[in-house]
Amino acid sequence: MKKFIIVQIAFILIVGSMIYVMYPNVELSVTGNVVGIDSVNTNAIILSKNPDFSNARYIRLDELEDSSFEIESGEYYVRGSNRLIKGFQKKILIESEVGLGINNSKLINIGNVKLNVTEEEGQLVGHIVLGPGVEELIEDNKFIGRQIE
Amino acid sequence: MKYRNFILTIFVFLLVVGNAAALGITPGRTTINYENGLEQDVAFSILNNEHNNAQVVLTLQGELADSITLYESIINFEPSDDARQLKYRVKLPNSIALEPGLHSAEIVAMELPKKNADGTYVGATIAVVSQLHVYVACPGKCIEYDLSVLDAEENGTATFIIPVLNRGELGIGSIRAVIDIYNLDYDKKATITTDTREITAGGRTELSAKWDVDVNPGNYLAKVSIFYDGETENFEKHFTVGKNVLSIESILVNNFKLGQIAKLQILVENKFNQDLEDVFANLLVYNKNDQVMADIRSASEPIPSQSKKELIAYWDTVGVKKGEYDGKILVKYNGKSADKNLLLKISQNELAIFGIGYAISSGVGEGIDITAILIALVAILLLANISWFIFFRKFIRKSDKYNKFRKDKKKLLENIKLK
Repeated sequence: MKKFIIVQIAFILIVGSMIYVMYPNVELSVTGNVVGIDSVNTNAIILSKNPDFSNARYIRLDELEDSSFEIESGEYYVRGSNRLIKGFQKKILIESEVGLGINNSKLINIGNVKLNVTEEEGQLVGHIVLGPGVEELIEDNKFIGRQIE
Repeated sequence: MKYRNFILTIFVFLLVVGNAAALGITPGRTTINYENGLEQDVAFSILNNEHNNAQVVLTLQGELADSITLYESIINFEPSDDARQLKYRVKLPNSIALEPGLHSAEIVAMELPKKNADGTYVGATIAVVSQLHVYVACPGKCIEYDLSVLDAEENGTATFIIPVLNRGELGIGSIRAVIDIYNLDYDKKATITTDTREITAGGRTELSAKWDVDVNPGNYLAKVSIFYDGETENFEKHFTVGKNVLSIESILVNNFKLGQIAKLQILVENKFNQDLEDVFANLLVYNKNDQVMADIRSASEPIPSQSKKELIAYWDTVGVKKGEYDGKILVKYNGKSADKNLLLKISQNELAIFGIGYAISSGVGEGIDITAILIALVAILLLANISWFIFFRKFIRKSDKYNKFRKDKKKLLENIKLK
């Protein structure tokens, strides 16, 4: 009886140690749209917008220049992976930023999402769709930017 | 990253040169699922992108505007302020419970225009919106869906992705889609079927299918039928084969001399089934700090369908130092663009330009799920214990029988001796 329990404890310790040594540990830090990666034993990051990891993207860490990558705003499920183990899933949130800049006669989308910008002159007179970084010549009216997708 | 820096550089330049304003808000949207009597604070931030003295007014609008209370409605920014963290209180009315679907409100942040010396307001005004989306689940099963088509290139493999949200109160056991692809004359070109998945109540998944593109570049129609637990939804969407309508074939630089004007010959191919007007190339070169150090544009040219054309751009290299620089070439047409990352190696008599691949790719990530490993570990231990328990019981029974046999034998021998 005693021997059997000792064997089981030894088995758990051996397997646990192996998992600890080989586990793809990933710490992620989000700054704007950039996700920084601090990882151990990890070859790739698996990224999906779905908790079931359907249609996942694989980001090879050896192809990244500075241990970071840029993604669109949204909620993502992430797990580290190496050739042996896929790690537990984590959730990261890239906040959308709605931003408008104006310079005399040009309106520019300075945020990180596509905007539907309505133009008002007492009443609604039209709308413009602006992608991030895109600018448009405008008149002296009121412009309201809201996230489209 | 470079793209954002580029935008920021341009914008900072604009701020310096002209009379400018800027305002931001984050998040652009907060989504919550309806719960009876839900009352909670929602955080958001107003961004003072311009680092200026500014006064921002917050207002509410939309269906749920009366269900929201702002803690502050006027924000005064100092030049030292980056952003202001704020929150609002939302108390959902029970009345919307009977109306499944989307209910929304908008928090509008508007920068008050500055007065001129004569007391009048001039110039345009900007406002940004943070949306609140509240979803009321429908009884039973109902879904929200869309279609994205990726990598639809001639002779390539296109990926059809259908993101599906289950807005119902019940989970969906099995969901799949069939996609029929038609050209604009309604001739069916292909039928593909996605994988089958399940979705929890309020959950999200993506159905996907591959298509070997054996048609010419152009516009096509996808007719999609989604089948889930005995129900069907149909929708259709146009998509284009030949996303990279313009292909950047090569960049030639002859007789380069550092410090002089270099002539760049950018060969571009129009692969689309129609002519393109006003096509121009834009080469961006970044310095070591990822700032744009050169922004070179070619003249606009028309490119006939299925043909190649050379776009000519000139770069004044006065003041440019020898070394390696990151760059990007964009070819723009009708508000769209094709781009390619580059590496420029500049020496006294040569400008060598190399293309760089993309960082994100597929094909890795094999390995066993950690959850599966832990489940296997528990299963092994469980099996070992059950086996041991069965073995132990058998062993005890055998021992009992043996002991009984020994006792009986001993008694028998004693009886024989006595007799």
